[in-house]
Amino acid sequence: MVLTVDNILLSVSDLNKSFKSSSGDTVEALKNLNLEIKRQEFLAIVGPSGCGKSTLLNILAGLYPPDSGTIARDMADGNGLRNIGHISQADTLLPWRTVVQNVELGLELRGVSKGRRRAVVEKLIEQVDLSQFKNNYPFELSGGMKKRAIIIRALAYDPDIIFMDEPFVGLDVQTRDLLEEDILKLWHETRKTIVFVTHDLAEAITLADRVIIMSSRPSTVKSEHTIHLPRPRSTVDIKFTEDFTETYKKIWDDLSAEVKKSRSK
Amino acid sequence: MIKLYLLRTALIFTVVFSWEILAAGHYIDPFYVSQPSRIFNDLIAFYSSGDLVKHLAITLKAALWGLAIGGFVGVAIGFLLGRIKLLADVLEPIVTALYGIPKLALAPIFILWFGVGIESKIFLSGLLVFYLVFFSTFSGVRSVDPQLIGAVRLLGASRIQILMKVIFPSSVPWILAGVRGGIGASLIGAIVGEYMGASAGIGWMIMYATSFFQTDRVMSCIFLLLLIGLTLNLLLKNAEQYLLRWRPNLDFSTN
Ligand SMILES: Nc1ncnc2c1ncn2[C@@H]1O[C@H](COP(=O)(O)OP(=O)(O)OP(=O)(O)O)[C@@H](O)[C@H]1O
Ligand SMILES: [Mg+2]
Repeated sequence: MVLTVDNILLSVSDLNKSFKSSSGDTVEALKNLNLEIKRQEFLAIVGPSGCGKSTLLNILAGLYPPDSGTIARDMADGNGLRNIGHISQADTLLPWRTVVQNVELGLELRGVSKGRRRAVVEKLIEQVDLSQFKNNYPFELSGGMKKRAIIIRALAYDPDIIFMDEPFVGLDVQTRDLLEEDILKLWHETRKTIVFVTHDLAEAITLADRVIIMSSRPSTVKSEHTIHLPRPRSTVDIKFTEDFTETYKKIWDDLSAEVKKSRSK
Repeated sequence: MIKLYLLRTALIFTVVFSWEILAAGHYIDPFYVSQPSRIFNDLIAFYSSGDLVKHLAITLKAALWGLAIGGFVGVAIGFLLGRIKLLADVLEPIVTALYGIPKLALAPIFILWFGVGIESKIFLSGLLVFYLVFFSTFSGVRSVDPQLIGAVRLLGASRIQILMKVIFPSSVPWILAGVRGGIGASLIGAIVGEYMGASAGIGWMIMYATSFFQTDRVMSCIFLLLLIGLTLNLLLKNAEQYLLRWRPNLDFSTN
């Protein structure tokens, strides 16, 4: 299905997905989930652990199909999946490729000539301050550097939308602040649509235009909050403003109820 | 590192020197175990008669062809079975069962099939190499990180691109491990093949010299095999160091 409504890039209706666990019983991950993603927006998805955030992202990115439901996309290649960027929770840099070779992979797969892809890639590498390591292999990079390389790898081939699944998990707070800064900068410059999954509410509020709270399993969209904080934002300073605390409190009540529910199961 | 080399050289020197002295004093009988100086003289005679190069070339040719053919087929079948589940389900138990047959024991029948020429040696050597490389490639292809495949697919890769850009490079360390074992196996195949029936080659020379109690010549041949094995392994080690430069160097053991 191709969308016709203005300004909506991706629309999901009545999405269902369950898994057969190895012990034999069925786990309902997503149930009747509805969601619309606007062009150029920064959308954050927050929800208790194990509720199905990664599952949703994997389905939206086309890694596997849902059991039922429709996904409509309005993209340059229609319903094709070549205009999608996906950053998973795992470290997915190819270990036998240098930073440059990893970042240019998307372009290489699309048959772009070496000269042209190097031009694109070198610029991105510079933007995230990795120039010094561009010819190094992943094992020589720190966790934060790897994340930066993975992020610009997804940007390099200019997709319409980028899904990020807890890209900063496992990093120290300082590195995280810097990477959030990087993401916002890249988002301002490229105006990509970003769907960002995190279980850190503060991170979601800092970055996003809109925060979606997912309920505990079987998961649907529980509530939706538009973030009215001014842009451009400083990822550190903004956390000390009154607006931020207020927004945080409001959404937290919502989220904590779900977290408690998923705990008591 | 230099210290290690010194220690190693000293050890080898001590062993060779004691061997020489003990044999000279007839504490051990050079008739059975020869003597370093006699081996050295024999090597010179062996070389200047032109025989050394002739026999060595034949054995090397058989071993290297065996290594190349067995290695290539092993990688190819390893990939096919590793990627095509149906094929693996059907064939893998059969291949494994056949692996249980001691292949060296089959050497006489290979001589019957392929004659006493180099073909039977190449076949035996290739068969030994094939199994090592096949199993190793198969495991390698099977153990590719599915998350990497998923990530590269989402970057827009086709099936063939995934094969070339993810599965193949990720299996290279495994293939190399198979080849490392294959080097020794290819030599064993060639030599044993020559034991069974041949008119030339280092293996034939060992048999021939033994039947005339020429222990010096036997030891010369063993020394040559040692050199070949060392050289091939050194070449492979260099190739590995280049091909696997993307891996952290976790080898704390030697050097
Ligand atoms: N491939 C799979 N096979 C079986 N069960 C799965 C699979 N993937 C996910 N699940 C189950 O589906 C549910 C949702 O998992 P998912 O990974 O989407 O959660 P999540 O919200 O991303 O959690 P987290 O915040 O911890 O990353 C979990 O109960 C999980 O056990
Ligand atoms: Mg997850």
